[in-house]
Amino acid sequence: MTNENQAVLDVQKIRKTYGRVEALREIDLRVAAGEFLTLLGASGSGKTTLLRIIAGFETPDSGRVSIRGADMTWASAAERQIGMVFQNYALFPHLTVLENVMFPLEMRRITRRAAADRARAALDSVHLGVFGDRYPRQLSGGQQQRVALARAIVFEPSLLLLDEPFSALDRRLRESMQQEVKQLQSSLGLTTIFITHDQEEALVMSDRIAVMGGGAIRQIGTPAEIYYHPNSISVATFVGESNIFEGVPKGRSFYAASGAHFSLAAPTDCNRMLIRPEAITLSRASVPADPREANVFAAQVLDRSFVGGFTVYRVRLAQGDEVSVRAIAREGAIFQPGETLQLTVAPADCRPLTDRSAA
Amino acid sequence: MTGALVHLRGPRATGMLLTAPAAMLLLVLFFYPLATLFLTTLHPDNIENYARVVSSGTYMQVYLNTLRLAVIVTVIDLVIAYPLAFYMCRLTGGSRMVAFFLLLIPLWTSQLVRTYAWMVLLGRNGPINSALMALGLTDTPLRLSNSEFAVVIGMVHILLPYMVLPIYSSASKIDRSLLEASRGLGAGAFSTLTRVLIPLTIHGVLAGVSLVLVLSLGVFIMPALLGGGRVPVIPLLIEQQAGSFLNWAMAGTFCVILLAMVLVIFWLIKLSTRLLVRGRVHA
Amino acid sequence: MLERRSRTRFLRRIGNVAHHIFSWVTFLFLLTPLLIVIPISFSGGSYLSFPPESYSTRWYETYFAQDSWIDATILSLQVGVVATVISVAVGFLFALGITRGLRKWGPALEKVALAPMIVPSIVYSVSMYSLFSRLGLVGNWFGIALAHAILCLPFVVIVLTASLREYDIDQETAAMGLGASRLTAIRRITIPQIRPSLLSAAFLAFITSFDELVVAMFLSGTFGTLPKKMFDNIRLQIDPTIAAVSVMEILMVILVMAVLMRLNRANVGRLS
Repeated sequence: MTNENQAVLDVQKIRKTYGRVEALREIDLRVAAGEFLTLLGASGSGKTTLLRIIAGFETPDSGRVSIRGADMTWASAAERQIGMVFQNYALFPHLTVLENVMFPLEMRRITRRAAADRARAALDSVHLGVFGDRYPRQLSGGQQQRVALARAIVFEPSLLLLDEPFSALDRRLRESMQQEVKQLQSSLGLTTIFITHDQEEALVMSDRIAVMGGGAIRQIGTPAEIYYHPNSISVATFVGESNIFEGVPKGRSFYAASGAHFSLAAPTDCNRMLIRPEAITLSRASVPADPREANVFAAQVLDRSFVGGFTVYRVRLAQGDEVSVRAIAREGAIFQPGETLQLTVAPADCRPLTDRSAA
Repeated sequence: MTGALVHLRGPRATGMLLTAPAAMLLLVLFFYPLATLFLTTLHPDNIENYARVVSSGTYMQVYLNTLRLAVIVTVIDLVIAYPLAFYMCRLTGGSRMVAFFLLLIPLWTSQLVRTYAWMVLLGRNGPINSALMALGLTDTPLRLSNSEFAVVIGMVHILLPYMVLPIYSSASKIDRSLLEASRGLGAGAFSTLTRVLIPLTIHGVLAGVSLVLVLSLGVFIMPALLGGGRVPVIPLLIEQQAGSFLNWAMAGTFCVILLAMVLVIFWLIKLSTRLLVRGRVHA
Repeated sequence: MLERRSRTRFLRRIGNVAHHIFSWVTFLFLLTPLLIVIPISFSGGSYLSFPPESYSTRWYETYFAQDSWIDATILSLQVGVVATVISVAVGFLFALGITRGLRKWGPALEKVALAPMIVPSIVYSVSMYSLFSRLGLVGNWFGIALAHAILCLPFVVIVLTASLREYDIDQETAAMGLGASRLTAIRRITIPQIRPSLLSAAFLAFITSFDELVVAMFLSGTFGTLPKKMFDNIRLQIDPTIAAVSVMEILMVILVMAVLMRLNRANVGRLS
């Protein structure tokens, strides 16, 4: 194996069952140095089990976990040099903030003075330098979060694991913490695995996303790949809003069950198709269009909801399909329920779902 | 490699390793001597002791008396503890702390000290008699101690916290709004008690009852010191057989029968808990 | 209608007041015996009367002057400390075991460890006497301590399993993720956080042994623990020395309880 394509983390054919429940079935995953990878999935999808196996808190039934090329499948958590931030932070309440951050260094037999210096530097990097003598309970949720982060990176781990670290924070704080973590991660070049069930968070932060479900990785790719080219209904509906059509493909055409006909950018044999709500345009003026460049339908507005920067409309095509549309809310371009409009979708935005399995 | 071994042993093996010292201690110093005691009473030389106990009116009388005393004490404790537990749930902050303090101090003070205190309180020249005479309610001091009355008071006092604590723990889990809802739905105080409170606290009540009943069957100090020889109970009988007559075989037989009694009662209450709880679920 | 409402309100208020009175009378009932021994321990006369005719500290002096009292006290302290150490050490490991590895068998095993609580102490004493007389341990203070450790174990197990079940196991996992071995994680992270419960367990174990009469009576042979000495004293020559001993014991309990409650409150404050 050459050095440059050596992954920091290499997970091979990991299986885990609890009693008769298959928590993980044959997981393969490689994470490159400096990469920010997100495991995205609902609860019960297997993402937490996978994280615990990577961290060394659980052992797989079969398969292999290597870190920097060394087999760590059976190594204890302490031997793995992994920094982890827990969902509830798991700060030690009986130790001060500084002592918390010093803990992993002391466990590595670093002298108290050197440990204290490094811990202070780590606290500085999360802007908590002055809080070293406080106890965790005296800090706000966001500050506790940063202490947990400082504690996880202070010993320069080869891998950083973040287990839904933002779920306890309110929306505004969460967004600023997301940015801060992302910045810290890229400036330190930390290889990071992030767990979340929040698709927006995953899209914002990740280099790559692995969508998990039913103990398997459903799809893995960049946020754009996952968003624009989901391979299945489950991935499509989990990441972003979607309009799903079932029907029959025919070359570069797709005939929905209702009879609506769509032109596609490329021939397909998939019998499901996805259109993102923001890919659809509504207009009052009827513009004649080339069906190879645009799919045009007559549609009636059923209802609308104003969501800040954009408006979500529910419309019904003349053929009967109900479609949700997301349009930028420009004053004067707001449509009333009951209005009949022209609906346009580019063929390139009609995306066949390659996964043939049932949702 | 050592890591692998640690993991292969797994959490269950670790758990077994951790529980082993206690298990060994219990096995050698608890279950083994009890089993030996039981087997000794079955020895051909001793087995007829069972017949002697069962056929003897006096001994059976003592067993019945022990049971009767235990039931009396349990009922009194239940009647006192039930409202007290709810009262403690109503308290908050400092006064709840004080209430706990008052409940736990007697629990944690020596039984001998408390029994001695009752001997003083109930004595011929004790404060109760002094007060009664000062009030002119009686001319001569009443004989309060050295009686079943004194034993019952002492036992009620010593075992009360054992009844209060389990009832408190189940009562404190009841949502206050539930009681208000019951009243709001038009239930009176009595039906709130029988239809809402008692079903919700039945676990605590039965735990308290079994604890007090079982403990009062084995009480030794109070009958010995407050009974003045007038309150025959099995633990006294055992002590007499072993300590004075050095008849260990007979003492053993008494022990086995007493233990059987305790276990049967314990089991009956367990059973009734299960039945009551299941009945409620189906109802 | 209005009349009925005010009647209901009136009845409810009466019930409320009755509940108050009943409860505080009960607390008084619980406390009175402990209060009554205080004046008696300071009585000047040599026989029991209440209220005492004169006051003195002679019964405290008697206690400290008589070797038999002091010896019995020292013996009981010794037995109590050893029984506490054994039962807390063994009970803590046991509680760790049933709350971690043995989640499935835990509850059943816990019940086994609670068994000494329901076996009457006289029954246990008789069975232990026959074991110890075969081993030649009757009259050996360490034998009493062992037997007491069994009686203390249920209290230790109840307190510590409850505390460990409440304890956030992620703390220990986190420590191990940060490089600690399981043992270090328990020593540095778990034990400091459940320290109040460990102290409570030790206290319960100690008083269980320190107050225990029946087992000590059977197993102590010729010498006696403090409860045995008190028991004989009450039986034979009921004099106020016993009241002085009682007051000292009560004070000890109150003191330790106050310390424990403070510690617990401090701990609750820190964890919340």
